[in-house]
Amino acid sequence: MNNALINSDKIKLVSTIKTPKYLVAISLFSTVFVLIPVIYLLIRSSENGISSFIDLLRRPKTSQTLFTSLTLSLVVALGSLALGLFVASTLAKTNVYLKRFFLILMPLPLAIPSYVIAYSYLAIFPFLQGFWISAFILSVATFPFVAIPTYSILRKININQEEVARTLGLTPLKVFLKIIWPQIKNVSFAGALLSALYALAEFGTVSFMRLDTFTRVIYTTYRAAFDRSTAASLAIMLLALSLIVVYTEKKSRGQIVLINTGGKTGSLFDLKRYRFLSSFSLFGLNLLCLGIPGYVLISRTIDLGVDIDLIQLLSTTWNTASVAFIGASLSIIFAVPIGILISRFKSKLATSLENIFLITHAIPGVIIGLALVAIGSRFLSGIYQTLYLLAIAYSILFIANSLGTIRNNLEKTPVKFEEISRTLGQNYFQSLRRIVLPIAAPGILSGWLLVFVSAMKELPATLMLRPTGFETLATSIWTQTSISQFAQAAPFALALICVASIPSYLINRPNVAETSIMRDNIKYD
Amino acid sequence: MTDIKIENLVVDLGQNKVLRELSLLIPSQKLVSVLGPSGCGKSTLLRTIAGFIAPKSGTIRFGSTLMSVSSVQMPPERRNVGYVPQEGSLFPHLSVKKNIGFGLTKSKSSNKRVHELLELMDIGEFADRLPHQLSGGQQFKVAIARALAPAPNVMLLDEPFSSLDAQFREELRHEVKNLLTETKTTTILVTHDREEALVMADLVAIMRDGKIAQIGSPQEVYQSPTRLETAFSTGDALIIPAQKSANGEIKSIFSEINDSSKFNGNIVVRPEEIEIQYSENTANAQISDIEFFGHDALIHLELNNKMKVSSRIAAPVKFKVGDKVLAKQKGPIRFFEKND
Repeated sequence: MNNALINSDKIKLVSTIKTPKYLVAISLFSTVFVLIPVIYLLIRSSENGISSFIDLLRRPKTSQTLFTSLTLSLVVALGSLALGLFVASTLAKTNVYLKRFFLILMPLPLAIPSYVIAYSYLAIFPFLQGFWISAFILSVATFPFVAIPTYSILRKININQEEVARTLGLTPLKVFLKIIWPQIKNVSFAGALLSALYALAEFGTVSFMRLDTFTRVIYTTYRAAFDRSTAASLAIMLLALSLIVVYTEKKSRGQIVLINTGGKTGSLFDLKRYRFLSSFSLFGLNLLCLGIPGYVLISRTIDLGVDIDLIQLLSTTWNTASVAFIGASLSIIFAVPIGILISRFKSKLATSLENIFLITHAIPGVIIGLALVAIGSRFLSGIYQTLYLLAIAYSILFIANSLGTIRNNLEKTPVKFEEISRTLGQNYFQSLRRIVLPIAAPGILSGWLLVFVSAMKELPATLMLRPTGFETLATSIWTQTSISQFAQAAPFALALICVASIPSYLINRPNVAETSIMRDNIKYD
Repeated sequence: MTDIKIENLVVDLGQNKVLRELSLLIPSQKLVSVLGPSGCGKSTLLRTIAGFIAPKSGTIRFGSTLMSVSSVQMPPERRNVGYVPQEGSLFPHLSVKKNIGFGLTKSKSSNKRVHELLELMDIGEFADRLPHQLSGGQQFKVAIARALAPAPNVMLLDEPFSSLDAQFREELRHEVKNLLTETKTTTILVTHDREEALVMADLVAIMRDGKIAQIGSPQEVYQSPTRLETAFSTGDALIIPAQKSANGEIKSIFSEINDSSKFNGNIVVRPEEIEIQYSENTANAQISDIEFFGHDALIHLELNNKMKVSSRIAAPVKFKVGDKVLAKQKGPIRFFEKND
């Protein structure tokens, strides 16, 4: 089937027929729906007037929080940039040992929630807290944002460029600085910005490490005083920061230019006496982000042994999966019509909806939680304190992810297929049902899976929105860790890795497998 | 019995004016090929007829039924056209049988129709295969069958043969031409391949800059181009300076006129209309190069006045490079006055 699709890639992608009205209507509805939390927060924080907003800004506590959040995301961005560049360039360009093994491990840290990594460090070193350990954990947890795209570009750069540069008298280091770096820098920066965004939105890690960033302060403000106006104003600040990062990331991604790819890419730089050291460094990094959590989860679970309450563990896993299932399904219902609109009709409306959905990418879980708690308790008492409100939160929180996947897959289905179907007497809706959706079905399913596994790992919104007494795996880890019952948290964390991290790793893996080095011809410099 | 009447069709795509007041009449049951270079708007014309693009102004009629007028468009699914785009574009998730039956409402008769077409196109053995399991030629046949299944009023073929191997192409052209004649389907074929346009069509429409420059039988457009530029669309052409005197007599370098100041126009000559023969004494040209194609050859000549022309002769070729020859023009004289 793939062959048939690829053959037709010359086909014009954009449909010139008028956009069906029902598609526009559904898309507008979804857009408004997704934006409700943000709109609510804006209204809420403006209720007390602009002067109280300025007062809040002037409070030392606020500026302290702002400073902590900004420096944390900056340090995490730099950390992940450095680690990511190191991993990508050693794996793509040198003769380091165990390359295949490290390559398989490369995307894995992204699949593990960073609060699980933080938890496992606390289980060994209960005294850890503060800025630097948070920055460290978030860097090792997010460096694949840089490493994966950089690696794949490095593998695509045509070796002839490097060879020509060498014959023109450049040393390998200069080749890297003058030829390779200009081609990878935008992709690496975009990755680092994703790490920064992650650091801004992360709640579990900073809470475990008692670091007062926006997310933790918003949560404690809301919890302690039910002071929702202040929390809302803080949330607006956080959202503004996140939006800046998201748009910078988009811009930096837009500037990516690849010159002269293809051809031979196989030449490797011989590390000589640094070969062992480099391999050992990669091993050490993997130990820090994967080895330690793995060791803690397994050893503590075994220590507990028969004391594990299997019934509780299973019911918590069931809770987690069922609410994530509803959330993922909702998010697909919202994402598919918009995906069709964006991929099929390049109208002004489609472009602006696309930009609006980019905003949802910037909304941290704690903000959705805060907004939906307020909206739910005020206007939606029917579903407040039920898992449906939580599922709605998931669907909004992760819709940008599923939309991305769905859209990519829809764009691979040529518009020509619909056109032929229409000349054969089918109207647009019938063509969608009989042609477009069946062809895009695998992509839609992987979009669904992506939301499903992300939702299972979600912590802050779950904490705020779960019905009383309803525990998911994430909230169980949270509860046990908060009271320093580290051993008790281990089985939940292990279960979470099994049901969420491994599947999400498997979804992402093929991208890396494609760029696997095994099939390329290897030759030494 | 459906003719297609297109009047003053204007299509803008974004900033580009693609079709500029294009008018075209396609007689019922005929195959018309629209021939033009890439970018001349021929694909846009086809897609507008199918209903994928809304024209800015102008009308399209199938028989007496209006398909498109100012702001009112018949949606594509109600036009009853058969559409075969480049590379066929079979639905990749459906078997051959389901592809062909796609446009038919499910019933016993639809099953019968599918089998009829499988047989007609000689692809019965592939009925249950998926498109990617077929060769290019087989995919093409399925695409034709799929378009023919609902018995369309009009067939629209968009460079359908361009992705096929040369040997397949000739065979399929013949087959498709016969099929469309038998089923009496009014057909528009757009192509940039002049041989394809001439071989397949009852009528050839030459398209330039969003308009039809000339329409006529293949013989007519080849032999009697109405404009200098359209002569090149249908085949190789030589443009030779010439003089038309007041009494209507036309002289060119072949009639021993060498004074360039007297030329007031050009004649268009096809290479096969230039005859050459050995002649030591009366020679007016020398052979500078020979391109041998097998069934014929193109002899490049330099005339005594340094002008370069070429002559197409049937094999076998008795000449060699450097021979001095007498070149003469035979056949019709097509004179075009200089515009400036």
